[in-house]
Amino acid sequence: MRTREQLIHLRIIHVVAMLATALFIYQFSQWDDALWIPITVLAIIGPFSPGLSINKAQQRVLGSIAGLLLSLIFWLVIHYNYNLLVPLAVVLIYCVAYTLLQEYTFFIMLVTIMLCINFDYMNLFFNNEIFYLISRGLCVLTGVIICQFYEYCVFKSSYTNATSLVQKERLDALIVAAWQQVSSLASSGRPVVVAELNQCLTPLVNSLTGLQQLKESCQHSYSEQGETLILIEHYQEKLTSIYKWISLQGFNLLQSEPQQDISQVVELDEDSLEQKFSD
Amino acid sequence: MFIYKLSSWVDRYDPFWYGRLIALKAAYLAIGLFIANLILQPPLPTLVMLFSAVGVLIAELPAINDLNKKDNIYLAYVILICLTITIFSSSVYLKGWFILAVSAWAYVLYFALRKKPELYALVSAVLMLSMISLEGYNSGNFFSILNTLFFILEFSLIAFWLHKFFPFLYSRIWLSSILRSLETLQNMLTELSIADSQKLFRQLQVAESSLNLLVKQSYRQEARLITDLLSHYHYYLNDLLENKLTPARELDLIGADLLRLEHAVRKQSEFYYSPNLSPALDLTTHNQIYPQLQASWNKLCALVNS
Repeated sequence: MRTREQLIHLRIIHVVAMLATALFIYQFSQWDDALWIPITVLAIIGPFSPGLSINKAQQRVLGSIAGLLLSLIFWLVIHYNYNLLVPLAVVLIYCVAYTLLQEYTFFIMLVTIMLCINFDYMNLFFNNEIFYLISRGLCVLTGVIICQFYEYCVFKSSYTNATSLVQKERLDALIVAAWQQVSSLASSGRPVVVAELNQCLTPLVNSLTGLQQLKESCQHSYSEQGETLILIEHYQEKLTSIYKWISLQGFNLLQSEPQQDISQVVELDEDSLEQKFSD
Repeated sequence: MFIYKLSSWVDRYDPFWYGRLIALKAAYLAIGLFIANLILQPPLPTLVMLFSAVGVLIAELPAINDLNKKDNIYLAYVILICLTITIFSSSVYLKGWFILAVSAWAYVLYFALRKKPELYALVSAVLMLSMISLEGYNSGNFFSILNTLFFILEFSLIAFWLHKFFPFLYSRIWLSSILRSLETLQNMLTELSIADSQKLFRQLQVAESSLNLLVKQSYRQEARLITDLLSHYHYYLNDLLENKLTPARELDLIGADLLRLEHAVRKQSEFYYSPNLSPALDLTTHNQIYPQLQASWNKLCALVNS
């Protein structure tokens, strides 16, 4: 089984291979807007993990089609009211930046509109404009097909059950560290402050967020990820359970005298740790 | 009423104000750069403006919560984009060599950041922007590329100073996260469940991380105190709801007090209310924390208004 580092390196090579293919078509085809092929590939491989790239490719197709169609309306408006370009550009820029943290479909839709009206066909006639839209749409589609072809036909077996991405050792160490931190806080003999408790919980919550992203990536992936998903769910349960336990005991630690805390909190010895959080 | 409804609707999609902050900054930068374009008239202004502004927006992403870090990220972005544009523009006419050069550069960038895969999105963005630059800069002429790079640097400097002169709106992020956490606390009390505990912790994490971005040290101290007190409430409510099974009537009292605070935070105004201190044993902590929370909020308002 490949280690996490090996998998990342393999993915880098795969990403570069997809990009090189797109560049090859851009350089050696005679298509007008072939530059949009490598641009599309680069946009899709942005999230890097195979599953998220597949999901992003689907969103990109939808967003591009919607954006190209909407840009037609914008073209009609601006072509006959040229002075509207500046205020419209400012509004569009506001909307694009707002959707930066929202769903990718909306973002790419607005970016497509903006790029269309800024770069290419402001002064074209209607027929040329339709050709431009078709040509641009086909290039985006080619970029998406390149990515999907590689992910489905070539790289599919490379990431089968990539359990090393879960980083079991790191998560186990994290759980033990959180436990040790809480037990040392309970036995420190001084009042515990909120920041110290939060410090115990922050890595757990961050890891849960990371695991959720990994889970989404595995769910969208073309390769078999059954074992990885089981492992992710197992660690999600473990982390959630220790999070819940610490957050429930947190108030006892914050409250009252430190000496009382030790007796109030469930016995914090290594045996109970193993018992509570063992498989 | 309409404005309130609109604001609540936007809050659902942008709970911590990050989207609105980035959007406002982008529109402000656009206007500034349009004016700069009017005076300096670079070749292919759209691309020059795009390259200089995107870096500022990247620096405003939620993960970057330190003012110095924002500046450093922008500097790194400008260096990276200039290097990448140089490589792409100078090799684009060499067909096969261009494929080799771009692939090798992409490999180098990805490999260099292999220990930090969370930054890969940034590499893809830089490569994509540089690829877009070929819409205009595929001259293959060294002096033409150099001229364009100087314009990008010039506009980047303008974008950087525009970013520095942008009004400090980071307090909105802190305020929004405090509002969201107050809403979640009340939700927990209504549903008598700690299912939202993790969500609340994340909201308070956002509040904590945005403290570094507040404009004055004195604001920061009070804001930190309020954040910590709300965090205290988090552990307190977990205990009340799961360990002590406190009656709903007493929980309603806490909920009503938190609602008063939420209204004050929403209006960004001081509020004076003497809570009816309940003798119930489970409410002892609430009776201690709530007046502190109220006093800290009022003090923060007084500091901001002074």
